[in-house]
Amino acid sequence: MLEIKDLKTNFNTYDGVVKALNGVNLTIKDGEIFGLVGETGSGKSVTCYSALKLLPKTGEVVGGNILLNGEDITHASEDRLRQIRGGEIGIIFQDPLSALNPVMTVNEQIGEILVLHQDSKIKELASEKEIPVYKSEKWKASPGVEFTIMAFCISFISLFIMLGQFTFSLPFLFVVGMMFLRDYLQKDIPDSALDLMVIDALSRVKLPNPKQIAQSYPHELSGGMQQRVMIAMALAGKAKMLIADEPTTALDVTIQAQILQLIKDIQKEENMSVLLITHDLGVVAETCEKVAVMYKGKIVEENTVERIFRHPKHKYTRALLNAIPKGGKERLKVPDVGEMGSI
Amino acid sequence: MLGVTVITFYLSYGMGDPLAPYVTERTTPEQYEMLAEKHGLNEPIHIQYVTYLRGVITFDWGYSEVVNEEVSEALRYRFAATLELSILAFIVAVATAIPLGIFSSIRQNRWEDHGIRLFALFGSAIPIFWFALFLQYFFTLYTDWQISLRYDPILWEITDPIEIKTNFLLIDSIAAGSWPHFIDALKHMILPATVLAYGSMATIIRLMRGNMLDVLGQDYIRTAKSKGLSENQVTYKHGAPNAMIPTVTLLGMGFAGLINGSVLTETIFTWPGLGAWAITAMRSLDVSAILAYTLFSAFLYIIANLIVDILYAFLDPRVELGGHSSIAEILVVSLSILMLIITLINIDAAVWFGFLILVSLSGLTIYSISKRMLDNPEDAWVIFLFAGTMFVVWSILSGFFMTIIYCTLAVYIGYLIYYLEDVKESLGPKLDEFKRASYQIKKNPLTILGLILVVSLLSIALFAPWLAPPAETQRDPMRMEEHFEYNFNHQPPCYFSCTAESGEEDGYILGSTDRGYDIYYGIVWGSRTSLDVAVKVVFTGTFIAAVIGAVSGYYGGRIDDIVMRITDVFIAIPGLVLALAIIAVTGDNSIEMLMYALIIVWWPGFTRVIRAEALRIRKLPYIEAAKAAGASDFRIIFQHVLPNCITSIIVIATMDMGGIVLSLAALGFLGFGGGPDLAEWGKLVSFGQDDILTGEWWGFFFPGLAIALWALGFYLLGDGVRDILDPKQRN
Repeated sequence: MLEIKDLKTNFNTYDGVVKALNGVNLTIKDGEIFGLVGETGSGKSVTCYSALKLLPKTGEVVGGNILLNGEDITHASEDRLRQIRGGEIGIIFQDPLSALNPVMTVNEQIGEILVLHQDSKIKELASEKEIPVYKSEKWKASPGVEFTIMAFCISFISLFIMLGQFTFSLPFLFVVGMMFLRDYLQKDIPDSALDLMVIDALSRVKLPNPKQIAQSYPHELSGGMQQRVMIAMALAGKAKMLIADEPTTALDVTIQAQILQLIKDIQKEENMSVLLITHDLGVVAETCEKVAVMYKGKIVEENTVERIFRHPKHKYTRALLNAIPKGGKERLKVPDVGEMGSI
Repeated sequence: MLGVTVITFYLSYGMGDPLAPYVTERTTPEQYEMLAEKHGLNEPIHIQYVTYLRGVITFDWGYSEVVNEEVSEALRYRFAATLELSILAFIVAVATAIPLGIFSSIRQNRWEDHGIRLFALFGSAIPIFWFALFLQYFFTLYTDWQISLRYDPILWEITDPIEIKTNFLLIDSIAAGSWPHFIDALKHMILPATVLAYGSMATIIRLMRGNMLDVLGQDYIRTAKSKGLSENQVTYKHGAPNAMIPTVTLLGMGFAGLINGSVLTETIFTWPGLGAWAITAMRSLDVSAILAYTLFSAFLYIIANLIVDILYAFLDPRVELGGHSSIAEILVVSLSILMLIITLINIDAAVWFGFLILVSLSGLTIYSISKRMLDNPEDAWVIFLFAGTMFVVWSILSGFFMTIIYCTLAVYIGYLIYYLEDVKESLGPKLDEFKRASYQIKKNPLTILGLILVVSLLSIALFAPWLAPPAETQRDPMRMEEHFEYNFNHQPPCYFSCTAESGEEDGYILGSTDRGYDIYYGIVWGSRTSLDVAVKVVFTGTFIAAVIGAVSGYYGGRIDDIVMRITDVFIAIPGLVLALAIIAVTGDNSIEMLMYALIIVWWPGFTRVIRAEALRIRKLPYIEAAKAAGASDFRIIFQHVLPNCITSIIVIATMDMGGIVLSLAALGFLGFGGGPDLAEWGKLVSFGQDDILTGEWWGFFFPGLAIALWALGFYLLGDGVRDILDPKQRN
């Protein structure tokens, strides 16, 4: 599915060039959950951002190849990359609250990705059920535009009243009145195909009452719900691969388990590949089939979960495993193993 | 997010406003006597105040001698003129600035970005009156546009009078269906509107750019990109609406800038609006007009802010109108409303009622403060600090404060030396920052330009006696010598090829004014005036703001509330207007008075910035650590909070070195501050203004250029320093 060969990424900072990735090799097969573990700053997230060219301005991919289903996308055009992002690879980020746009409703944010990657399906659904394609709320614009319209109308009304021409202000009065009344007038209009798809996407991540959630803003939801919305968004474009960048770090433990279970369930249903980035070996043991350990911008060991846990080969992996707190024993320190030895 | 309700917030704003002009009225007792007679008010202060309040709410705003009219009458038609101009300017400014700001941010650090930033900086740095004179010069000489008044009197009053209903001429001409009238009104309006718009446009561009850069670094932008949206969709659909939110909150400030600017613009373009009227009133000490104007512009500003707040709630779903308000706020507001109602009905009752409120409120305050003191006696120094600050303000007004400042500085330096080790420790990371800074300055061409400008202007001020040696007969080098030959002979001001008094050719390098002042001499020595005023104002203001802001931000709660309400009152009145009102009401037209006026105008804004910084800093872990280690509040504020505010203090102080000179020049241009022969740039520009129509451009050009370069230099420097010190901008 996704193959990363000898990927090298640099960051140009004030203190000089920082080599974040020094030749990363990864292969993720169809339908497997692949864990990528390592300590903070070892280059886990940079790997996935490099793969999709989502690096900040200072970052730069300087070498290596990225193959998606055999297609080399290292130097793919911006258009092709946009098709891939969301359409073929969906991403979940660490902190759902900051990763969701605060001024757009869930409906708008998920709708956006559907329009981009599932447009034909929306139209199909619309013609099948004979409902509007995109908008059910016909007369709603963005808040800024609404405010401008309102302000213009009110100023025109006051103007005409000042001029003593009350009759001219009537159409504007009508517009203002409609803006206040439209919510009551529009009750019977059915959901659009887009709305239905959004609700469908939300119910796939097992959110209760998806219709209400679709209309709320991110800050009105709890952390677990926000992360579910993120997952729904990542999956909405029917991506065949999901990159989850520390999806549970910002959540508390009970919610973590739920979210991981959800990712597992969905992976099974859709037979997707999942790249799970985490620093929590517990999460890896719970969820993944294969796992790679990253250290200082390189993959130091890659194997199935069982083998990694039973017979760790690299000394960093061993150190990492030893650092898992086991009741009563003082083993919290991860020693700096210095230059990476050969496996 | 903003816990304070909009309505109560602005009512508490409004409550303070009638006080502000009143306080200025009280400032000097002798003047007060005179004014009281003028007003026909010789009653005790509180009765006067209530009477005044009653007058305000019943639209009985006194009688203006200048226009020979009731103030409320004059306000009515002049207001329409100013409003028409400001609205047009505001629309132009917002409509151009926001797209430019967005464009600049997506091209960050490319030549488009540098160009737009320079354009914006020019907008802030160019004195508005200089720009206006510039346009006036070109349009009078090279086109047939008439650039004074709102309309062509021949067309509107004689050949084809149309009905004027709203006093908004553009609308009236449309209503009358007359195309030539519309064109004429537009032609008259376009230049003043351009001048007015440029300044606010500059501010909005810079704001929008900064906010946009901030937003583009957010996580949800990355999310949007990961969905497969195109660059444009990401910028305009996800970036811009988020960046608009903080921009919009500051548009109210932009409107205050417009009111400030309209004073100058209207004077130059003889626009019959409020600003020009206020200037005439101030020149002739027409007190009721001045007070009315001050009050009115504060009122306008509050309305603008109210609209902005509503817009804010529209744009940001996280903010709700209403919100929660504390019982104290509701109580104060309802009491003040009650007070207003009683005032309307019966003055005597209102006096008693107000007296009762005052007594009970001050009793409450004393009670709560003394309780707090009893609970934790080590906090007593806060009271002394406030008393000390009040003392400083008082000493500013009575004129011996510079001595105090020097003493305080000496004490603080002594303190720093005494605790040198601790200070060094806390300065360690800062030194690193400065090393970084010097490295980055080398990479930023605009900052270097600013540095060069500032250094060269400062050296002009330093070497003034050698650059332009004063004549031997001159008693005070700061005062320009008149060359009477020219005045007596009614000779026009000359340029280059004129004969100096002494008879030698080319005596005046940059020409002379109609009074025979040497412009070159004026500019060189004027730099000393500017430097003097700017340094003193910035220094004093920084001192006051640092103390009050740090204490208020560090303690938060009640103290913070009170301080913020006080600053609100000052900020609600546009700066230039307040400064003018202070000067006009005290009637003291010396440069020192002007300086004090500028300090009074300047400190509230700065206090707010430092307070915000202190609020941020007090939540940082090392403050907690210091507290846990048992450090006293005094120690924490002066050793941890203030040193950590220092970056923003430096940035703002640098920027305001430019801003103060702009205000100084604006006031000088209007004829305030020092005698007519004082070497001051704004004054020189106003001398040059008279000769524009005859095409003598040097009179206004060179002094204005000096002002612009000064402001530009400091703005560039401040901007560069901020870019460097702001960790978010660092790559």
